[in-house]
Amino acid sequence: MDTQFKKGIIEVCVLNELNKEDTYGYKLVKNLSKTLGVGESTIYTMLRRLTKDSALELYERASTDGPTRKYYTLTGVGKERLFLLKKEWESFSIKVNKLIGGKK
Amino acid sequence: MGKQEFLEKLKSLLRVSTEDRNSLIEEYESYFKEAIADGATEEEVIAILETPEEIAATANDELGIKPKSDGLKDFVDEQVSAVKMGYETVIDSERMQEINDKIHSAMEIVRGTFNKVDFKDKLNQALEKVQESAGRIKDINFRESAAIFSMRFDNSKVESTDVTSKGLEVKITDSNPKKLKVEVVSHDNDNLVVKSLPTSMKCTVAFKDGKLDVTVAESNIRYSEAKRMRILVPDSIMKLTIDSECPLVLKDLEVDEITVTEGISPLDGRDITCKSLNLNCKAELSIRDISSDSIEIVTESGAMIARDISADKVSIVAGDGPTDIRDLNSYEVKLELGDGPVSIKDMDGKNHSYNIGSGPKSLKDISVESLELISKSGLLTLKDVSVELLTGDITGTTKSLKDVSAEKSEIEK
Repeated sequence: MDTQFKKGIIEVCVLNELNKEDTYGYKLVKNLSKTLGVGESTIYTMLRRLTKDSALELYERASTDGPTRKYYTLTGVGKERLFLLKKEWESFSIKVNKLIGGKK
Repeated sequence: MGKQEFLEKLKSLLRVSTEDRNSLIEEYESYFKEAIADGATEEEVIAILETPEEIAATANDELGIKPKSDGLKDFVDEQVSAVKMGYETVIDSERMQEINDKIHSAMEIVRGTFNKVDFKDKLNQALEKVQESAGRIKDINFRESAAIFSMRFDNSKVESTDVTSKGLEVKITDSNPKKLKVEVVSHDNDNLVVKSLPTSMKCTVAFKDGKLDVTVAESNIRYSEAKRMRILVPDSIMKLTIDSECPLVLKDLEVDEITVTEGISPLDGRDITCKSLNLNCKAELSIRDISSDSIEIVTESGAMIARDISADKVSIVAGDGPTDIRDLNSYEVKLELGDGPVSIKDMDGKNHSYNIGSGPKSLKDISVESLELISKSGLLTLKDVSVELLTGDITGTTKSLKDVSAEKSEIEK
């Protein structure tokens, strides 16, 4: 699959996961890397990139079953980005579905 | 290979900024901790993870700076692009560390390279390039970067109140820093006016005993970066003190005394006439068209542009960012600048003292009575310098001197 295309999909998935709930890197990697078929470095690098772009912020939270964890949370910028990416994806997938599923 | 070796290897392969590197290593350390807490051994975790080479390839591709080069040409190209990038992105503080890392690594490379090659010839080439790169600074338009500040305030909400005191203290607190742009300007009305756009943005504006407190809640601004605020200061104000966390523009101000403490955001000051200007900021700073008896500036990041300055006395203490000082006319000037690239041009006055760090330095068109120049290392270009007395110490620098004249020189070369 085209790298840029794949990156876009991973970005929307990462943002979407964090829109559901704040979470930490390890958990996000566990949830996403297998489903999306990408290495953990892709997710970690994406998290770093999104943090630098102010789409995500980090905060520390103590945990009962392990060490203090750094949680990622979606910012307003991140929410806007997710909204736009989802819209783009929906419009794109409708067009593709029309093309590949349309009447012969 | 154990965990420690894995992380060390990854660290050595990453060609990214220090901040990115630390963040990635921290994430991988956490991965080990979590997976081991789940019952895995170090060896099993390493087997699950990608190899350090694979991880570094992904990170370097996405976040990376170019690999270190080992030739002079690459050094020069790298340095020129680092200097250029420094000024093109002067408003982006997150990249400053990356830029400084690049410049420092480039300097290390040139030191090593000079030991191997025909010194004089290559040195001259490098100095020419440094000169050229410093010259590019003039093309940078900071105002363009800060264009958002000058947008119009249609449909504004207006809060106003009478100012009875001659002094005004403004405190701007922003729970989501860097998002709200604040502009402070003079106006000829007696009222203090705070305007905001859009009208839906609610902020707390409290004014009492010459103190203005503006607080913007995160909930009101988190969904947009386009929120702006303008504070109109009455002409009657003689002393203005501002403590801000937001990107701040001071514009068209005529006040006796101005003191500004700026947090993590950029500060831009233009068209200011005053008796005393005191600026203390952590992020990028741009000032131009300033006329003041005394100017004192402390800028932690060191990324600074100062142009068209006229003052009796100027003191600037700056960190390691790229620094561009131009068209400064002052009886007494004291500069203490960090290790970033420095360009100083068109300086006039009587007693000037420049203490500059290890970055590439270009001093051009300097005409003062007495110049004390201290720089212990790095590349130094002096061109069209005319002084009566030259003192200081430039012993450790690699020098290029052209049209430098001093009636009396006591400098350590």
